[in-house]
Amino acid sequence: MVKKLLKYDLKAVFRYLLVIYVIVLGTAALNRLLQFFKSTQLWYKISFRSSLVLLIIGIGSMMLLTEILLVYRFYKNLFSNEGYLTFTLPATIHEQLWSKILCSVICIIATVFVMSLSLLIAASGEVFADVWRGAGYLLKEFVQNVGILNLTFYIIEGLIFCLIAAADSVMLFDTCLTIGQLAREHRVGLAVAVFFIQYFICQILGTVFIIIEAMHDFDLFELIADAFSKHPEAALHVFGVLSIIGSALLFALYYFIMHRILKKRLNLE
Amino acid sequence: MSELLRCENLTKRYGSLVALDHVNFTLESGKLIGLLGPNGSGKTTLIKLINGLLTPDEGRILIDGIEPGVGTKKIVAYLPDNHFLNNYMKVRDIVAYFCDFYEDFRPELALQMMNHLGISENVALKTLSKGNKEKVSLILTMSRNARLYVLDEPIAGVDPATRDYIISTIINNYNPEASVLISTHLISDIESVLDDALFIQSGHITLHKSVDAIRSENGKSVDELFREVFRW
Amino acid sequence: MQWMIDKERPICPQINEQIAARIALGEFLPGERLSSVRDVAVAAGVNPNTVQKAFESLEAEGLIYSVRGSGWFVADAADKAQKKLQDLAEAKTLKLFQSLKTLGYTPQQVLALVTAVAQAGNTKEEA
Repeated sequence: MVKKLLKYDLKAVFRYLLVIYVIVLGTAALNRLLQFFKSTQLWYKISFRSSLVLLIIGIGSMMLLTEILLVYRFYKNLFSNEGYLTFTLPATIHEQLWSKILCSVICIIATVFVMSLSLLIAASGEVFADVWRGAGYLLKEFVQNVGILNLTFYIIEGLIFCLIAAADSVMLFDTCLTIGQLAREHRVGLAVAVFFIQYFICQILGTVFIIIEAMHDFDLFELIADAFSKHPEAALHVFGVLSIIGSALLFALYYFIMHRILKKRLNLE
Repeated sequence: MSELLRCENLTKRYGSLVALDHVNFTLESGKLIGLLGPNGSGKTTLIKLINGLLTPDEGRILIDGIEPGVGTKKIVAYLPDNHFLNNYMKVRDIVAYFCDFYEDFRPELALQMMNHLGISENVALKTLSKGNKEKVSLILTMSRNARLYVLDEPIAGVDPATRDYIISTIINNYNPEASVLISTHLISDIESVLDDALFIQSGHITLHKSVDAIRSENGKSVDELFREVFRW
Repeated sequence: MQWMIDKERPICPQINEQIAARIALGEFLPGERLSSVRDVAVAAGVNPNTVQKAFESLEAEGLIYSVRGSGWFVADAADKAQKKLQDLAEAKTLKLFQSLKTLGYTPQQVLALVTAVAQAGNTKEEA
């Protein structure tokens, strides 16, 4: 059932994403094409630099639009009139949620892939040769310092964290919308309010934490700096694992809230 | 004939407002039943409870002996009051969608009925007129081979010819193993087609009788009795 | 085939009466197959169960019979059909008397009225 739901979720979002991908890749190709005509003349400098800027803006917009499209899909499919169709399908709330979560992760992966591809295309010419050489050098240094084993684990930790964090980024808005639909009127307004409330709470909690920490003799920041200077590889691993746990806890929180509300307090207009 | 729907002490509140107040009734298979009541009587709440879109505060509701969930959604076909069709699909896409999710869906029947109305499968849903959208929604719902059909205001807001078409479709689809619950306030158009009538008022079922019994006992049509009962 | 459905009376007897009338008037001949319950329901815009009950009551009255798998057929019962038609006509006449009574007509006045209207109708036809 999740596969079927996922199929339709992906179809709905990719209808728009594919257009955006084509535009971004096209801009990258344009930039690359321009590099063939490299010269010191003014027209080249202007067009090359502006197409590069355009590409960067395009990539940034693509990331933002991906998030927007995913959140919009969540809202439209579940809380608009379409919700009457969605929630009477023979699927459990778990299945509905997992379809949305997997769709979000897949779309974000696709967007990151297109971003990388477009940067590669644009940067594959002679113009960027120095950049590549520099980056290659830094990478070699890093690998030599940490070793292949550590590197593999860093990559795995990084990937897991990114996947969960990607899901979290969309689920935050989805949860706000889900809480918002509890109201009879101004449902999106309430969702926006919930978002800002959660933002302020996070800020307050963060500040409170720092204040408490400063009040004790135990200096957390010195401890962390110490750990990184003495055992950098291990510290990085710990940092990685803690990030994963943190994002997983957020994931669980969002999932629990959404499931609870959708199961017991669904409020279709 | 089997018991298809049972409500026991079914209660639902919205804050201090009691939408359904300890409602008790059963519906059998092979019947066309009218759920008749004014706005705010609890019709929509009852329909949402049947479809698992709300959970009861007290009491319970059973469809073919089981509580609303994935199992009942497989055997209940719901036509909501508002337009639920998504705009970017074509007719054949939405037919494929129903096929995908509902095992009991009969695509050949759906396409045949739509062709009969001159709606080809390549038509985009967003280009359909309001009347045609209603017809497509109804066709999709009735093309399911369900045990309980719940139609919420199926004939409101359409022209008389479309109304006749919808009523004929409902009659034609009749199946002794299934029942159709029609919620409406356009009673005079629908009453000839009903077996039984359920009057609902302020969260209570005030009448549950066969329509012919209503006519012979009161010497009036169901519509006339309704107007009398629900007069201010 | 036109169906006259009055929603203020139970519908089942109305289906019964209208089929019986057509049998009595010879529109349906003995041995002829009637439309299926479903087709009658769609044509009349009424509930199939109602039509089914109407068919069953006609069968009880001996006006039609069913053959498993084939459908419903008109029985060879002209006399029964005529009697039924007679009963229906009497019922309608009684209704006429009752409704004219509310306008203040006595049975004699109704008779006089009926005669006058019938004659006027004849002259209209001749003219």
